[in-house]
Amino acid sequence: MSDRDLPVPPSDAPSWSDADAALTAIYAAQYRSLVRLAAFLLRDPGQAEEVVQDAFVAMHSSWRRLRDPEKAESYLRQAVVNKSRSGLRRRKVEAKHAPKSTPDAPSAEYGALGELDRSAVIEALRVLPQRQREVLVLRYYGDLSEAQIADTLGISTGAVKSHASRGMSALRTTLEPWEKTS
Amino acid sequence: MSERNEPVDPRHEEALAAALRAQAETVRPAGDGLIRIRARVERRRMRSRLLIPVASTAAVAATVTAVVATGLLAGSGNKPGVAVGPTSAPAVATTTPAPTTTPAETQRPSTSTAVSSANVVASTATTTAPPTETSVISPTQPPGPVPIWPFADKAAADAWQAKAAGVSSPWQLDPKGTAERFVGSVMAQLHLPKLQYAGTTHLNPADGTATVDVSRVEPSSGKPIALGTVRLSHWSTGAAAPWGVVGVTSAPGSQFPLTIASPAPETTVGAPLPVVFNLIGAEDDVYVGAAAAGGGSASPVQHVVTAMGASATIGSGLPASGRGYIVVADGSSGQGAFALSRLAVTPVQFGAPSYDAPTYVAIVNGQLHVFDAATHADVHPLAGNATGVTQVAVSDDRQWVYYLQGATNGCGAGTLMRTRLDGTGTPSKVDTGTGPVTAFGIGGPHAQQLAYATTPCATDQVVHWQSAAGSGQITGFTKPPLAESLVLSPDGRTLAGYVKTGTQGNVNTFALPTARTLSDGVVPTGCTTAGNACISAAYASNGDLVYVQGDGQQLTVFREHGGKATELFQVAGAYGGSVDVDPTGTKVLLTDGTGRAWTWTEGGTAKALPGSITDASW
Repeated sequence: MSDRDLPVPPSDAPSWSDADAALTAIYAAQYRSLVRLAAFLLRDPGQAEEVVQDAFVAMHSSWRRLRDPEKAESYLRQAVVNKSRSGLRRRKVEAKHAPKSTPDAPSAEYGALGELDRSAVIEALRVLPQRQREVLVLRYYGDLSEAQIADTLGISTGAVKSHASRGMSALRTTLEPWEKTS
Repeated sequence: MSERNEPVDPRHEEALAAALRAQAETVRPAGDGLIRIRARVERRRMRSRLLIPVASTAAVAATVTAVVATGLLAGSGNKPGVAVGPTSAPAVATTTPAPTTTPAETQRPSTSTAVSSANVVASTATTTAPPTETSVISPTQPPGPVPIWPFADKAAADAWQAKAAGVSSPWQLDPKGTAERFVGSVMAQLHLPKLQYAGTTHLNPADGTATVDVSRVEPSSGKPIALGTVRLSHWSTGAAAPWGVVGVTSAPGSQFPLTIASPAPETTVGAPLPVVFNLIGAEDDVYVGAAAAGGGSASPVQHVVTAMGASATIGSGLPASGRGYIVVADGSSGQGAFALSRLAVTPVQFGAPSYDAPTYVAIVNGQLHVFDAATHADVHPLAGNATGVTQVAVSDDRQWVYYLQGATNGCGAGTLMRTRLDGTGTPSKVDTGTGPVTAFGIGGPHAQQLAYATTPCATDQVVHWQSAAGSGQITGFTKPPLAESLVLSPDGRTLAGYVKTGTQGNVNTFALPTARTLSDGVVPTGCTTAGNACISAAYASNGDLVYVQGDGQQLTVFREHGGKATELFQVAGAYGGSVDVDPTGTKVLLTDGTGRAWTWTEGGTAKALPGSITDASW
């Protein structure tokens, strides 16, 4: 005997469309790593989340065109990189008009955890030119191929190689002690 | 100028990747990302869809204006300002200024039928309801549901009716005027700004009721924003019986409905009162309140910033008795002033909820029995001769008993059933649609919330849930871990359960709808003490979590409120089992899984129950 009205589920629960379902699935798979990627580019986890959420909303709007999780992933990466750049530009403009503050310093937590080597690497990464930083983060955190990085940044694979090489050269002295400890 | 790229040392690459991975681990997203994204997506959807009615309104206005102009040019003799259109669509929405009157006033309602493009509601172009400014059906039919506004009760309505004889066109005789003033009254009750409204009336001569689709007129653009459908009924029969509001719901087929899931209409409610509502396309702010019939004493207003379906608990200040209503208003404060988007109103009866549990249901030798809570006498068996019952839960409204039967096959899975607590009717299967069930939990005053675990043979366990937060699944319960018991909070926003990992286990809570896997579970603060894991949990009607801590020698029951746990009682020499709280939150049933059971009442000590009981529920 079955009583179909029994479980009393909310009858008006959202019935997700394709785009909604895709958003949920891609969120589960990608959100955290995209926030971390954006945090590397922006150096601000809070702003990183906003940027990634913007990218997901934009992806949802464009789903009719994308209709493919792989394309969506690539779209999200590009959107995150572009929006992070915009965020940095905006921050630079704001900083020009803001009162001077003391320079950033590693947090007390880093010192307490004995993670000075890591923070030195991250700090060295931060002072790299933007393009080099993007290439290195996408390559060594995002684990993307040169072709994927080129696609994400809208540059040639040759340029990717060049930025990666210069970036690694700049980081070499910082990476040597880390290499020993890791 | 070209430059040769230097080869990169693989050790440096590895070192950089390691540093980046380690640094990435320090970035922890807040956990509400999906909710925020969905809310923004819904808002975009809502905005884009609102453009369609605006376009329609403009088209209607243009058409009507053209028709009027044609009539005038043709010298048809029609008076200027009166719509001339097809006879099948004569209804024209009238505008009413923002209500500023009280129910006692007998101000003449607006009877203007000026056709203004800014004030024509799109739906009026297609309605077939007769035009109305005042009630045009003679209220001689039996009255429908008893209204909740503008009078406190029928006596007040009759008194008004006696005094109003001879008053010219009182708005109380106009369903539209009554509906619009009600919305204004609710806004004042919620301390929200006044708005300008437009309404379209649909009369139902068959039963003497009416509905009025109320829209808010956007001040800047003049476009209508549909707020909801106000349902009305007459207070009494007679030639001059006033109209009264019965409730407000979203229009049928609304793309962005707002519904009050709990309390159900006309149920008896008391504080603390969880109000559960579902929204599709939520704005930023939701206001929740309650008031006595006629707009009398009102509760404090609860303000919720929400993304989707949510809840608010009115902790105190409810009218002590009499009829009244619960209000949920959704809108946006994006531009400084609150702009109402949707409204829902449910009629209720205030008073002590009849949730006191004079009986409890227990499983004795695999069968369900109802016992007297005071004498522990066996009142009557339940569910006929059903055997093999392993879990039981009674709904807070004391109407239904849910139970798991036949969980004896190779996978330990059974069938989820329910039957009426009073023993009437026939037990029936709860159609989960997902196969055998190994554990279940209900929540909410009327068991609106349901969660159950399915464990198909040789595959992992999945916990399915349906609640005010929507519906979904939580996975990652491999064999082991297993979810052995489940319970849902009254507002449907949290799922709690005992999760077994190998030979160990603990209570985990899962925030809905964001929780997706076992790893999203959080152990309650009071269950994290080493060696004192919790073995069972239940929710009180105000949302407090009650859990049982076991140290291998005794069981201790705690109640956690606002992150602070208070010990309720202890039972020595007990090792496992389950806990249940009565709807008033003052009585607890505890079973240890070996046939022993205890009952505890606030202010007292635990008392052992006679007989062998494997599970029990208030």
